[in-house]
Amino acid sequence: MEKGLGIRYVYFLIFGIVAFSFIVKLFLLQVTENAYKQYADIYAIRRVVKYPARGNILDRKGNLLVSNEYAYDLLMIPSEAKPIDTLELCALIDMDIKEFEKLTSQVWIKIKEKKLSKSLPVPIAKDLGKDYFSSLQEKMYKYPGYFLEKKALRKYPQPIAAHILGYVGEADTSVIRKNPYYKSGDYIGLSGIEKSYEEVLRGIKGVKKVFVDVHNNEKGRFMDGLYDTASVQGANLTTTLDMKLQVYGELLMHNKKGAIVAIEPQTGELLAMVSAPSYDPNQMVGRNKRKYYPELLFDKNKPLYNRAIMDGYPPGSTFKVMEALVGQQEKVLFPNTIHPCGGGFRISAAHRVGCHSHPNADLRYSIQTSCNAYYCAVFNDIVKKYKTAKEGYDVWRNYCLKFGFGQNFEGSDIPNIKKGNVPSSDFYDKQYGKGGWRGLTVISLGIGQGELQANALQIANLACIVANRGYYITPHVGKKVNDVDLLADGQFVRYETGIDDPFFDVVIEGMYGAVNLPGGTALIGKMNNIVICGKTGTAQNPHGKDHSVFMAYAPRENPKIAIGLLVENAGFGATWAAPIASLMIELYLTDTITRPALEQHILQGNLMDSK
Amino acid sequence: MIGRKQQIIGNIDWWLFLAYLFLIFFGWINIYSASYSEEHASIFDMSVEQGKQFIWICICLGMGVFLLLFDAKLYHVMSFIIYGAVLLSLILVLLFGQTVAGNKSWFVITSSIKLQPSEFAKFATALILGRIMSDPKFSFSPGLSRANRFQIGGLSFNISKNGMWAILFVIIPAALILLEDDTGTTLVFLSFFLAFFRFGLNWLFLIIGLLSVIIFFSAILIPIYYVLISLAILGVIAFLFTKHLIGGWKIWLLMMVFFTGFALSVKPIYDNVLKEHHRTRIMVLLGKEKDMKGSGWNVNNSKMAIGSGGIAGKGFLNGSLTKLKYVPKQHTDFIFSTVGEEWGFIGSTGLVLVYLAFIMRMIWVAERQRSMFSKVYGYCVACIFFFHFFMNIGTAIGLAPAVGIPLPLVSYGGSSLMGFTLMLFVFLKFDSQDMHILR
Repeated sequence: MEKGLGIRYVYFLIFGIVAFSFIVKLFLLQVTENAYKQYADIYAIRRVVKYPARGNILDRKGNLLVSNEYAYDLLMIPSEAKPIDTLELCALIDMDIKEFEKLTSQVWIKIKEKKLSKSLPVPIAKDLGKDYFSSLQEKMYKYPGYFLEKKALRKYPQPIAAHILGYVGEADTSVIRKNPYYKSGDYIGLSGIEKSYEEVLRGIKGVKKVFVDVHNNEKGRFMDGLYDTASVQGANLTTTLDMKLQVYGELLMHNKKGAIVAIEPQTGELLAMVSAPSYDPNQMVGRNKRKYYPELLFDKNKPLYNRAIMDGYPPGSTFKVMEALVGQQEKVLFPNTIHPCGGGFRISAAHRVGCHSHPNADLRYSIQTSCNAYYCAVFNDIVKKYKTAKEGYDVWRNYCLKFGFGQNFEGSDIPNIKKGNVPSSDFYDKQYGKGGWRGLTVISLGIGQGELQANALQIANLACIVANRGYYITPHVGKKVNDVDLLADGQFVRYETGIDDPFFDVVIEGMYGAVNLPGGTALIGKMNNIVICGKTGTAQNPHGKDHSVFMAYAPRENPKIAIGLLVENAGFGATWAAPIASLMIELYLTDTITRPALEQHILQGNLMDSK
Repeated sequence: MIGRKQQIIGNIDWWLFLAYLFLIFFGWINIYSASYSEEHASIFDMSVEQGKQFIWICICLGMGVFLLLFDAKLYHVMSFIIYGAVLLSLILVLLFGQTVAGNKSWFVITSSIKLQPSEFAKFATALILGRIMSDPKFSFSPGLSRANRFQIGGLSFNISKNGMWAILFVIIPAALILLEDDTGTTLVFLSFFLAFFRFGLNWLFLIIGLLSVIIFFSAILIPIYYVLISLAILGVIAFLFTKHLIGGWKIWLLMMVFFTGFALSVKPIYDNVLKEHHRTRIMVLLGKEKDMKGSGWNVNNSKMAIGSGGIAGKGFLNGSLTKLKYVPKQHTDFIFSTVGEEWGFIGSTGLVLVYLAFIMRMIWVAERQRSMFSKVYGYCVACIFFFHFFMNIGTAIGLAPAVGIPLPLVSYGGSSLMGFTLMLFVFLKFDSQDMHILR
């Protein structure tokens, strides 16, 4: 029994040693160890979204078209916000104090109505640039509950290609509802390449969870970063655009309204897309956007409007090229077919489609001189070939669609291409009653006028078809995502027009003549060292001076560039459109300009206010 | 004649009772703090842990008073029946039980009332050990008279048939609980061995046990040759200086063979028998690896919360890491992290000291029992409390491997609170009856 009493002390010793070592360890942890002290005044866990920078956009030669620049949003977490020196903060962020107070009181009203969560950050000021950041950063400790969130904004080293590059903006509620990836305040590509390559360019958002103390300082990472995810920058997109050509195109179109589209025929690659007037894409970024966007939106010249892919103008005489090909394919037109001109085409005793005076033409010469009467006859012959006008018209219309007219090039990565208009036979049935119309009724279609509407992209595509002798590839602007070649990857499809190869000979001959031979309508565009094939056009404009239209490709053998352009209110196609196209071709193929006088003439032209 | 009620109250060990009240109350307010959220701000909110724990506390206090009314002899008589019933329930729970938090050890009565029979297995085992070890003929060492039983450090290595029975009564429920995948509670059954030394189990076993643990870890960490060489040197020294203590060269040789064999088998067992998460836990404990996703992560966060408490703590309901639910299982297995953060070094040391006093008092009270039955029972209960105390707080501060067992009376959990209340109040009853007879 006595020994038994003693043994309890062995137990006391064991228990005591354990308790003592606990106390020593606690002393080490809580009193001497400093590693954990930083967590002593932890106040909250903040979820910081790490926005990836969007991918860069490059031109076909690797020149940077779009890159990024960092900016900061000032956010407030209502539940953590303390009364602060609002006057000072507003001065720092360049904000009206009344606006600030209105904003915060609205936030509190929404919280009361349970429309907002107290613990979720609310943006106070957005897109603060580097200058704001440096002065704000030192003062942030004074504003508990407020913090800065870094993000990347778009930056355009050259103020070009605004329309085709497009712009980014905050995702609106309809997008957020449809796609859970986007949260309120997130950026999304809203137009142009930014829109069509949104998923490639946007990258992957990351999240960082951090501890913060009452003084708004970060105090280390929550769970040692276990729940953090890295943000991944968006992929770089190499476009098919040629920066130098794009810059030059915009320069030539300065003080003019209209559009230029240049395409590499064999590949369908967009080399340049100019819509004038344009704007500096940097104006649509961050804080600038708030200032400039309304200005641009209400500008009477509609600079935000991409004229290259809009619903368009009548294609005018450029359409005759297609007409000549279809006529041959339908066996109603042959190279030696002669239609009398005599200054116009008689529809009836009272009506006549006018033409300028020139000798009677064969097919080649009709293109070179752009004879209206000739093509009215061709159109009429095509329609007449079939039993009813409707049937014949539908055959003709089907060719138009195959040539890309009345189409928006589905599968193209150029967003928002408008179809233009090639009226259906039903339209004319309604207009004139069933069977109440003939080829002659709608004869103006034959020379690219009437209800026809086309845009510069479709006209450039027509030039591609001739250059390729019968096919085109969906016009597109994306070349490579990272290192994956999109065309080789099968993203863009080849379309056949159904016109046989031999029929192109005489048409090409005619287009050659239009630029290079006496009597040609576009002699002004002639060059000595490069053979350009082209076709002028004039789009009738009931509101004022006609629009100048031109399409061309070069060189004649093994073509490298096809171009379609439209200059508003510029009159006859040869005066403005043809020289611009010629200069563009020269720059692209030779990298130099040998005709400074012509260039100067174009640059000085101001067609902005002419009507 | 004093009334029966007064007898009970008068003879209760008030120190143990007050410590019990302190621990459950302190536990409750820390559970409140650990589960606190603005939606459930009331300490009596029955939909969350603090409210449920309050109900359990009321039930347990009522049960405690009720237990004091029974005659202590009842437990002596009933011990086999209780043990049998618990074994049956352990088997049934294996067949029909449900898995909660990885352990198939729960009877689900309603969605909010779940019972864990393993919590009651400790009580039943302590009772049955009291029963068989109070037999006058019981001894761990064969051939020794009862009078010699309390000798420290018996020389013989053999274990009596009785002793084997006692060990078997521990191993059976432990094995069943291991089948439930509840490693933590299984390990708790080791605490009975700690109690056995009081009743004549050779201390050499403890030394062998400790040495085995050291060899185990060394064999994992350093090349086996070093272990064997160290073992040989140690063996020679032991042979030269303690030959007379360990009872001749035969036993020495036997021990050398055992340890060599053990050392050689550690690595293959570690690599092939243990599962990946066991290996990770061992490595984390040894500081070789930072397992930031499993147990090491819990321990790291717990240490961080405790360390951030500083000397005086952040104050009740002000533990920011606790409020942010930063430490997993912070109202059960890691309740100590809440204590450490909110009450600081002063509070957590205070809790350790109160606990130490509580367990020492149990040993003290056990030792004063004249009935062998209640003495054995008391030691068993004290050792169970100690084991939980050691493993739970040890885990929270990174001194013991994370096995996942609650801190008795403090952690959240109805079964656990009930099991420990049962154990303690039965012991209080034994003591009060003993004291009454003494008077």
